[in-house]
Amino acid sequence: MRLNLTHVLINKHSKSPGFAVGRFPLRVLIAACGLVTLSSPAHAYIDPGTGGMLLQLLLGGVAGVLVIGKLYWLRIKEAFQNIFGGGADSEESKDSNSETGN
Amino acid sequence: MDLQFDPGSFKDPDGRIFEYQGNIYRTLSASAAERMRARVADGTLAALIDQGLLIDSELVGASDVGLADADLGETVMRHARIPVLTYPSEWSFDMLRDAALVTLDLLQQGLERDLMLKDATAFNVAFHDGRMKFFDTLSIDDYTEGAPWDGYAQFCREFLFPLMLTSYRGIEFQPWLRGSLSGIPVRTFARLLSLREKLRGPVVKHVVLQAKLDRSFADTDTEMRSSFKTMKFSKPMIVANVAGLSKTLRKLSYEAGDSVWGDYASSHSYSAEDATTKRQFVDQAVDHLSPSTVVDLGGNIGDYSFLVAPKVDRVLCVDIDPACINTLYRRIRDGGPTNVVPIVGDLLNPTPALGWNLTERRDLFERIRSESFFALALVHHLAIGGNVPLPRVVETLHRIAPSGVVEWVDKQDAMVQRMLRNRTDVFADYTWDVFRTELERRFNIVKTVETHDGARRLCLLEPR
Repeated sequence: MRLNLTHVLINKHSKSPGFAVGRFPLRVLIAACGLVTLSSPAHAYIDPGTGGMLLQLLLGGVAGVLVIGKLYWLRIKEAFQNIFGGGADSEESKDSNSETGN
Repeated sequence: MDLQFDPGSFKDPDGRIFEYQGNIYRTLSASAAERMRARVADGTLAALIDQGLLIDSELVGASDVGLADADLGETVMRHARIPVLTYPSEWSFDMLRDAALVTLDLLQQGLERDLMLKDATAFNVAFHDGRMKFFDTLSIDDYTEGAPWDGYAQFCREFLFPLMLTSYRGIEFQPWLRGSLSGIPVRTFARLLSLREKLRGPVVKHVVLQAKLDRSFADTDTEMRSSFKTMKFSKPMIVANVAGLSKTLRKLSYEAGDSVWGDYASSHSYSAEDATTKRQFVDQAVDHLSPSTVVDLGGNIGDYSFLVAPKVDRVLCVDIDPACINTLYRRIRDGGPTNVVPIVGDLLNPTPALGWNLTERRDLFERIRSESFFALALVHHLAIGGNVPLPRVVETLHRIAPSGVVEWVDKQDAMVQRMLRNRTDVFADYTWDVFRTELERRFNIVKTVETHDGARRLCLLEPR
């Protein structure tokens, strides 16, 4: 299952308050968890690996656990949206499209 | 200008290894030169070298060593030469573990000095002068506040998981590391462990959780990845993780699994007299041949390697059994001769050329070529055990070294009889006469001595 946060992070034109939490940009979530947002220092010589990075985040303590919890939560939400609210998603996109089309 | 770049050194744009006039050097980009100068100035390099963790390295001016016209920059780094490089798939359990501990030790000391290692591959380490030593100085970088340990996943793949595979499941890791130059991937390794292992703390952490997170999020798109870059990782967390890994590794015990040779001494019939005869023969052979380098093929736990080590520059001891090589390595580490190099290797299937362009990692024969070989209690394993015709056995021995000591083991010998007991004897040409004829094609047989009531013969071979 692919975790697609594109619509979460880019779509700032959400009209529906009911999806407020799910639409919250990830950066803000991380900040809310008490982690400082930095501009990227990641000039990695080798690929650190997704599992390796996230495991270290977990090892960092409660804040890291919360971020990962949030990532899983977003996946679950997306799954539900795909099953139940498939129409809602495309409606949202349509709304934003028509907005920007003006 | 006769400058040879190492074909295995190309991944780091900051510098490459090359050989010039018998010395080993590393080019340095401007930023790398600056970094290395800082490491000299703050005493880091000296401290690591003094502790035996890092290979001898020094900065030299390019013009001072005759490289002014080579267009390699002003400064290069000169390293002590590692005469025979061995690869992680040729190491025994304790060699890989010590290489891991050296890497972690270096990283931990680096963090104290606000430094970090760029990567954590087992290929950064070599066996040198009796110890496992780090030699990729350019991996030492500046620590960036908030950055993760980028090498963690690689460290797990190339060190932790192979060692756990052997320790927890009794499966030797060498074939795996030969097949995969980047170690065992986390999701794959998670499949190899049983439930009992998966309840251990370190396994839950480094294997189960890492695999789960990798599986859940590795296929995410770039938007998620850019948010990774905004995550912050604390130094105390990295330090604690490194310390935890070190502790976990130290607690692993080596399970040799189904080692055939662990019991060598007791299961092999040498009378005291025959043993003495053999030792004397080998000793005198080295006196006669005066080689500077010897390769002990099928050297087991290194008894003969140790015997002649004081008389030569270097002895390579190659054996198929990782448990034997591990015992040998421990003997060296505990004060044995530091000019003996332990190598896990199978003459019936030696390490081939591997990696990029098939030149990144060189084949075993290219590296173990020496002035003399010992092929003691070996030929019957190749000819009978491996079905290699005697002419080919002799040809390959000659390819490895032009002189040496070989032990002929007759078909009537107890060991050969045991090998043949469940097999059809298809070895009509396995005779002393055929063997001697082949030897005389390539060598000069100087001396022959019989043991085991004539069932075995030791031959001293000079170059022809």
